[in-house]
Amino acid sequence: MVAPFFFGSPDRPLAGVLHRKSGGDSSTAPALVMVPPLLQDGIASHRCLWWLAEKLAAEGGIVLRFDAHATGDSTGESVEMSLEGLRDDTLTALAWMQAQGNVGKVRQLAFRSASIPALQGASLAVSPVDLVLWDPVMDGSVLASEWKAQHVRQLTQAGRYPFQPAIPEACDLLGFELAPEFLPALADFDAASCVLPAGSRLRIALWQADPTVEEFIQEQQHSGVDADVWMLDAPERPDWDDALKYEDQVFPRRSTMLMAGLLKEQSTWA
Amino acid sequence: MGLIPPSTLDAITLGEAGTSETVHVFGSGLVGTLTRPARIDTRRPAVVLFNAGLVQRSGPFRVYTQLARAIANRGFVVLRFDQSGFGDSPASSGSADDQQAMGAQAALDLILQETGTHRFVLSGICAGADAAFDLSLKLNGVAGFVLLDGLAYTSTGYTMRRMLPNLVRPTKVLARLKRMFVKQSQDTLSDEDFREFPPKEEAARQLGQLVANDARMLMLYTAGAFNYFNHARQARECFGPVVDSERIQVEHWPQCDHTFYLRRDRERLNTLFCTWLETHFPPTTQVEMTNADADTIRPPNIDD
Repeated sequence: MVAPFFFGSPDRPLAGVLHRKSGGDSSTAPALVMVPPLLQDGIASHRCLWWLAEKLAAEGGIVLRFDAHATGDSTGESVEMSLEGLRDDTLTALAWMQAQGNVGKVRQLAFRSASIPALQGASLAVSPVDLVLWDPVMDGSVLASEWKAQHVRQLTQAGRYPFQPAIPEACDLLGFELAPEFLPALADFDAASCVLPAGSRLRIALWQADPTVEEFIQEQQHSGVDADVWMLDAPERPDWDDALKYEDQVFPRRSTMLMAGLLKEQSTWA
Repeated sequence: MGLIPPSTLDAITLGEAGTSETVHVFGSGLVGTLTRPARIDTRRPAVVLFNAGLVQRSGPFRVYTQLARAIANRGFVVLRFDQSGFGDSPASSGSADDQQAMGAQAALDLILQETGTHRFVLSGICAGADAAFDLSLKLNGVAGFVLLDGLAYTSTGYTMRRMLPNLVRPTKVLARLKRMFVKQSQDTLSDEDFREFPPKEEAARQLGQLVANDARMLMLYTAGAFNYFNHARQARECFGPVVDSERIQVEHWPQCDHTFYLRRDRERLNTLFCTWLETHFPPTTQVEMTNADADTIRPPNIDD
């Protein structure tokens, strides 16, 4: 069952969609908040994450997906988007879910660039968190460079402007109107600086081994975090750099099915 | 972060204009967001936005969310919703055409029920435009449509305009050929996988019928229609003299791309759309929806 709604404070309402099994029983349901990926990552992965949420709900879980402030159906002009705001909205979503009755400990799933607000929020937590990162961004400067390069490709190589070159405004990036400080803030992100509280559980799902992630896992383990890697054996990592596929929907089906299984197995799912 | 859990809200209010939004599940479990102005004139049509390709109801680069709010700030109700199998809506059984028609009817019923508005302007980008056009004579109460990179047909004029400049720019020809042969990944789908225009003569007849019904039509073509449309005069070349009607407005924005990638193009779209609505559907003596009225309203029925 899909239930759209608004939550949060009246001056910063957020659009959310709750997935749960129709007629579910009243026993404690495993709860998951899906942190929204940023910008086009979020639009491209929308249906994939919807499907995953529905799959988990059908197995008895309760899943919250939401649009951060200034994105999707939430309020705010796009230019108001900030990393701090994304982080705070994630914490709001977690708090909303935790406040519901009949839910166990709330887990977070963050796909790709959603790892940034998820890790930033988790590192501020005072009690253990339960976090799953899927193909995460570990270095914001790399992502910022990739996005700037993709923006140039969209303007010049993707076939958007066959008649004459487009001249963007300073606020334009990848189809969104962003504040000038957004990209520098993104570039400053370094996952290594995000240490989760001791007792937390962290899983990172990858399509290919990444030494940066391995190092990050070890650092978290040294801090008392139960951290591990899930290797996805289906070679389905989307090519995020392909200019011609930039607006395509991303749906790595086998991997998504694997993620559903892993999330169900390694949680308190019934 | 405070200690008080974030509340669940029935509706949200947007800015000083008093525009509000609510979210709904309707029909066969379809999900939609209804944007309404502070005061509803039920004689002015509501705008219905169909999914742009496979993108959810907020639209590519959030263009639908921003468009809906701009339109509502000008006094019109707007519904953006996810058709069956798109965005947040589950897929339902039945043919794609049936699902589309039933979903659209359910959308109109929702608008009527929630706001008392019984006239509608259908709109969308790309496949959304195709849906709007296809349904414009199938649904009761359609007062017009706004097609963004909707249907059109190549013409001799199109071919001449397309070929002549490229004869002196071979790099463009090569680039185009390369794009034609790029292999698509199995895990990605693009809009071109889903479009099919009716025969040209049928489309022209339909436009004629809509003109006869006093429907108002805006057809905007961007550079995204480059493969089949490249000049405003092409509308007459492919649809014939019906487009001379004052009820039909054709715009060609060759500097704008298919999904309004740049901020100024989204703003320009908002302005065009709003101006067009205000011109063709000016304010009437205000008739506001009340709760008592809601009980006596019967929804329009879809034609068989």
